Amino acid sequence: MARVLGIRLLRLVATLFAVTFLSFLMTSLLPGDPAVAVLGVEGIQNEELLLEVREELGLNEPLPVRYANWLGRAVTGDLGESYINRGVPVAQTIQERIPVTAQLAVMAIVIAILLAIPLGVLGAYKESRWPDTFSSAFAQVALSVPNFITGIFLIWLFSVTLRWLPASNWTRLSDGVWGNFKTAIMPATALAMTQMAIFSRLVRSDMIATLQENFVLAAKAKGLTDRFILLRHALRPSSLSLMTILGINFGALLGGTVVIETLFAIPGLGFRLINAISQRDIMVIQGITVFIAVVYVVVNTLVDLLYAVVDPRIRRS
Amino acid sequence: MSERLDGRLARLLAALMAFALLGAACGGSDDGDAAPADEETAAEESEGDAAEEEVAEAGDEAEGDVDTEIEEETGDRVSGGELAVGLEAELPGMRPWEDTCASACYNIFITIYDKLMESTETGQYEPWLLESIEPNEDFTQWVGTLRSGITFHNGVELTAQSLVDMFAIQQTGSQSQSQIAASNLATVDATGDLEVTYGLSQPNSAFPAYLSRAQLGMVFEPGAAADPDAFNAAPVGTGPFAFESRDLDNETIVVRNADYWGTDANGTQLPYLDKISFRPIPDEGTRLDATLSGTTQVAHTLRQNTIRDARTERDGGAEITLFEFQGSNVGGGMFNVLVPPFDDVRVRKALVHLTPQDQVIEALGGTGISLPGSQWFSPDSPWYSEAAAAAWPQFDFEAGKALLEEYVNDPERSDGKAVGEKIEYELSCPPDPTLIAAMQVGFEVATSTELVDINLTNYDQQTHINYALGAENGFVGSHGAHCWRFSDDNDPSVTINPAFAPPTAEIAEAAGIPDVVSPLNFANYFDGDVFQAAVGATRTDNFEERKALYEAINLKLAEDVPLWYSGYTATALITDASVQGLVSWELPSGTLGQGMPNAEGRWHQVWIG
Repeated sequence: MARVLGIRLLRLVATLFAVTFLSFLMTSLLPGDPAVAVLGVEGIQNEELLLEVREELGLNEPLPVRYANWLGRAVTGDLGESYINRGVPVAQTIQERIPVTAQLAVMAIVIAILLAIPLGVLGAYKESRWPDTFSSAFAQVALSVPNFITGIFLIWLFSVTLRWLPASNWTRLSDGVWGNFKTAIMPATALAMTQMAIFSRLVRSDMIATLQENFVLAAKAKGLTDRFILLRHALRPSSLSLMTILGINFGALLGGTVVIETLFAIPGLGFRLINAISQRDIMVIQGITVFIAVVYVVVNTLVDLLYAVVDPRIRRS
Repeated sequence: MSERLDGRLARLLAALMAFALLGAACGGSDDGDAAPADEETAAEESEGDAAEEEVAEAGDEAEGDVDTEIEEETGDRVSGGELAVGLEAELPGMRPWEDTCASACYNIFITIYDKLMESTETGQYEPWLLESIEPNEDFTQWVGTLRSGITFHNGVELTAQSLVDMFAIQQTGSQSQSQIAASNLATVDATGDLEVTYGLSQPNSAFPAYLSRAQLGMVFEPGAAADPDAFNAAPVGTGPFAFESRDLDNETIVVRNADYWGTDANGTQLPYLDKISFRPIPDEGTRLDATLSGTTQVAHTLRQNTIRDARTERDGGAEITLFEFQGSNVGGGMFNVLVPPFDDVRVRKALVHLTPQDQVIEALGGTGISLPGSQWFSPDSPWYSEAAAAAWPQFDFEAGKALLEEYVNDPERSDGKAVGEKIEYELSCPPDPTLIAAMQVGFEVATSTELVDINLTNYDQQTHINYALGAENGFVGSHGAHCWRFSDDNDPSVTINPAFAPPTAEIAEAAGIPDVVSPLNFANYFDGDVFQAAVGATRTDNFEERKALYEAINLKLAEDVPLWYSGYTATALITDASVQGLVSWELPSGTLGQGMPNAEGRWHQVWIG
């Protein structure tokens, strides 16, 4: 186990190095001068001012030097300061936004699981009959519709038409749980739909396989109820694939909230990232990209390790 | 609603595609548009009995088929209440001297900071926080007197010395520095407790206009600003509202300044509202939906598509009001006149003749919203010139083709190609779907002459600006033809002077004005007469004289066509029916203010009816 952990950690470090270097390279190669973004078009009255700002931002240094400087600080937790929101550390920006994006991702995963397991189990239990056809069709539609379209539909239905929920922005948990729930539920649902479709398909196919296993036949022979067999005996072994995909998708959700956060004007990592890209706020782009990459890699490493814990065959191999 | 849903989906898909391009090709995109033209009219005009509260404005309809909105504000003005305002973007920071401030930002700044001067309905400037201001004979010195008894939100008294201390900070600010240079401001001295003297290095009769802008005109507490980061987190001004909190990307809250100096015509203390929450909502559809659903009471927009959607909703029974404004900001583009073939006026004029302006406006979604552009000023501007409008080259396929043929068959053609060979050039715009559609219109017509090959390109806003700026090659820029926007509703000198000053040191040297170089001359067009007229207009404060000079500039632009125009820019504040006072606000003198140019509201006299 220690060896597995060691190898995983080494891979983690190598992956993070590659991610930071590539993201630094790509953001630095983006056309568009951050100094121009800082000054705005009106502010560029003379070349000296432009050069001064570039110097102030350290943009006159060669790329490798800038990367080395950044990496040196990043390993100590200092991700630099925003070029645009001057004086605001990138780490603080990330720290303020993690709770929002993480809450959305967690809510989306929970909603997805709550919908996916009954649908998947139902599909497997009633394989090739109308409930299976219905659940498959529902999953197919959910998978096909991009989440921003779901979001627009939800806004139209629950905000504009029914006036039940606010169309935009975010109420922080500290300002009220109910208010927070009202601002979070639509974006979380929009995010959840695609996940739900993937999860339900996985549960269905795994469970169909599980239901053919001898121990299920034995349980049936013992006269246990279908419900008991499905939920107590078949669901757990049918969840291994789901667990793996949960880890991968949670990481992806953290980076994949960009469109939904922008649509609903939610102050999470994705919304900030979009603003930073349009403003050429390289330090923020870099910081958020690296953070998402770290979460993604760490979560997947943890899932791999957890997988080994849950399944003794993997541990032994 | 379904039509609007379709539109939203199309725009979102386009935005996603653009975003994907950004990531994939580093050539990127965002939904910004440094260039496009969205247009509208809502010239509100009051018959102007200043003592009368209820204002029925918006009298004059601009000509053309634009559906000019007429708003009426009736009923008693009521103190109290809260507003939530959806803005198109988050502001970069809270420091007027340091942070860029566009329309969304201005809506917040104007609640916290008073300006020294303010613009009136007729585009003139009157004192606001100043009580008076007078120039010397040659406009190199301006003496202003502040209102007495005014305090900042932190209790510090506003004096002339405050303005002197502000100037020290402004001289270091990335935004203020450029305005100090542009306005010729050299010194600020306290010549009395409340008297301040501005010394200019060159005459500038339009100097008060700069005191109405964020960078030099918005008054902040210099003591608090000594720590810029702390100030950014808790800004202090003298404005009608005091800063309460800011949750970046989510909400900025300002609350009523109980000690505000301003009163309305009845002596009621301003502001009327208790609290305003400004919320950045970048998606146009969501911002409008937020107002339709009651999540916010106001939606801010600079997009004609949103104005059209809001009109549809209103006409369908939604209880909303559109406070529209057709400003002088005009869409279109520019030719880089230092780059062949655009160094030849025949090519430039030909391409303007080959641009069906109405079809371009239609492609931009501006039919019935945006008036065709012909000059630097909209028909609602006091500076508008009928002569310049008449002189602007109209769509004329045969005339355009003839000019192109003349160039193509000229053995001395500037692009060095063989006689008869097609002209080649790049037309570049930001990747806004409507702009792409408009580009296609121009492309189809121009290429149908079989005399030109056009390479259409799209770059995100920052890249677009960079290519136009061309800092890497002496501010010449690498572009050929480039979408852009021009002008605004400030004094004309603010945008015209930097736009037509020598673009490079070599050109400045040749013109005998080596110290005057402007990177903001994006078209690289320099004409001695235009430059002299622009300078001349800052040497007199006689309106008719100034107007004649700006007319001469626009006539010369119609002759030399370094630019082309699509339509004027429509903006709007879309509110629920209870929001009043956006067009009827007055200056301390009782003069009617400018309304909400560029969707910038003056919130101190807004009330909930």
